[in-house]
Amino acid sequence: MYDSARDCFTEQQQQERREQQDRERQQQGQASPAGPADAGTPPRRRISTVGDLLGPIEGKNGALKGSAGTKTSSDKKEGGSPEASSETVSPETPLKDIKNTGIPKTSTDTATPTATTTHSEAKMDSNALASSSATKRRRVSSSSPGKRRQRVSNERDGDASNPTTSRTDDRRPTDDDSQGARGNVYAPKRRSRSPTQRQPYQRRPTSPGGRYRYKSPPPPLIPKRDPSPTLPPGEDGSRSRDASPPRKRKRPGQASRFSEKEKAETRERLRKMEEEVERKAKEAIKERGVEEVVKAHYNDKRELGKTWRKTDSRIKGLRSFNNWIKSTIVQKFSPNDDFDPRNHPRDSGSHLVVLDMGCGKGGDLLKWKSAPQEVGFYVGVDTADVSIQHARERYDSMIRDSRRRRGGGRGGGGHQIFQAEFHVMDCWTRWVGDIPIVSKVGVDPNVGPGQSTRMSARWGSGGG
Amino acid sequence: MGQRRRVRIHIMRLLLHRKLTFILSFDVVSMMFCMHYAFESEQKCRNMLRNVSGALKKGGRFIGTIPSSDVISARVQGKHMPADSPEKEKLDKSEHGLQEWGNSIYRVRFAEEPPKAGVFRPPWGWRYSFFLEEAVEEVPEYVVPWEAFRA
Repeated sequence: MYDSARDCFTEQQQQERREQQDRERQQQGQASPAGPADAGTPPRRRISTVGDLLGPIEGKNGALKGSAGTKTSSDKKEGGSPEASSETVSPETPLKDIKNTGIPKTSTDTATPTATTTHSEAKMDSNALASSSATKRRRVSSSSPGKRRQRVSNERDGDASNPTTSRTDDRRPTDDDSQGARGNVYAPKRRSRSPTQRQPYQRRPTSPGGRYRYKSPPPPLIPKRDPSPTLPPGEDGSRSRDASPPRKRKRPGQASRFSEKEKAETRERLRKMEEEVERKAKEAIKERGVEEVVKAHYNDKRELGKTWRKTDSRIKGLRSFNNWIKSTIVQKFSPNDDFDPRNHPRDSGSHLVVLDMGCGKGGDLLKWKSAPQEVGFYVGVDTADVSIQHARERYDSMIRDSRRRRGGGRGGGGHQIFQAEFHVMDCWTRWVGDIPIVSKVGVDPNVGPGQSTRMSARWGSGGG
Repeated sequence: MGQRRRVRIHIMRLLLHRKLTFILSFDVVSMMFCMHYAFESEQKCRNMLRNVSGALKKGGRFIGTIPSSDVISARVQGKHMPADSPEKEKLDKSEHGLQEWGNSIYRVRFAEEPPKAGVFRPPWGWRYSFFLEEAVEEVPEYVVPWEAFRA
């Protein structure tokens, strides 16, 4: 009946009603800083809208009057709290956009448990049933804000345009009320859709039916409407609606959008941090001796990969220069004196046996692999156990590669991959003969500086 | 007796590494950028040399790379500086050689003031901390005076 009557309202009537309402509110001493929507003060704050909202209710329900003041504030807070909670649940919902752009109030309002409680209390005063339904609803909404938003807007639309749907809404009027503040958030959208939406609000105060008492929901509509004029972004609603989905899409992609440079920076930063830690640790062990420091350093060094070494490294030139020198030395000096590359048989007897002290991470394995005189056996020794692990891995991968490529045949350098062993030891303080494989290959303990007598004896006996 | 031991080892080797039948010792010992860590003290040097010579067969090769002491000497003497630069004059007046140099990529800093003449004697214990971006971070190393080492 009320809805049908709405069509008969003329603009004049509406205006009158509005004015009358205004007057009412002023008499009640309501805290409504700004006039009604059309009072010519476009910069309306939200609180005023709530006041508007409350106006009709009070008109009908005197008991509510006392709690109205608190209600406004609580409502306002309520508007903030559910949003904030939904924010925490899923910060990427479009709600955020709206909140940021459209309504500063909500953003400033922090979601506090007290806010919710006061709100619910106020509701209790007015309508217990409503409050329970509202809380229930809120819970649902917080779980899936996006969905809820859609639903709410749908209801609103139905409310405004279709009387029959509005009736379904009657059951949970305060629910809408509680969402009224929240509804503000979506105000732009609503406004943009149908300018005639004002009418329902104007009418409502006069609605005679008890049913409409619950229709405090209209208030929700009001807030929507009112802030809209104040909000400069008339296109705000559309923007929030249009822009949010793409943003959603963008966000997951953000991680993948890190450029190589950024990645490198991150890596660098991490490395710096690790260096920091390492440095501190190093200072701590400085007293424990240099070998410890060296060991710690090479253990802490990170393997960054071959491609990084060749492309991103700042000292790639130096690296390749060092590698070139080392391969040159290996190429030139590793073969025996009697080695003749032209007619050297590939028998095992001519294979070199190499002891690499300080092999590090096995970076020289390939150099040895491509040595002119084939390397038959390689022993790598280093003081840093982590480096030795790396070397072992590298050796294994080398073998795998060559097997894959040549079916277990000759490697790329024309040589079969040598056997290798890696051991952790400090060659400066301990005797290499302690390593079983080294002693198996053959070491003479009776040599070296300070053992000249034995050494001469060795020479005298014709050596090994 | 030594002969018998050798034969036994030889047989073991045969079984373990068939391809290495004729091995008596290592043909090559290589030390790539690590021997300078041994020059902390005389004892370490001796251990190192003993290890090397013990592992090498007769006529075997000891190959490796180390930081050049010649370059370090030159730097310590400030030879890289322009003759009329204030740093150079300051260095000339001081009793010691240059203690620290480098750039954004690398840095060398002597723990103690190096000799002005750039002659490191005794040949061990000349400690400096070396920083090379991405490779070596402030690790203590020691000068390997090449001539002394060769001698």
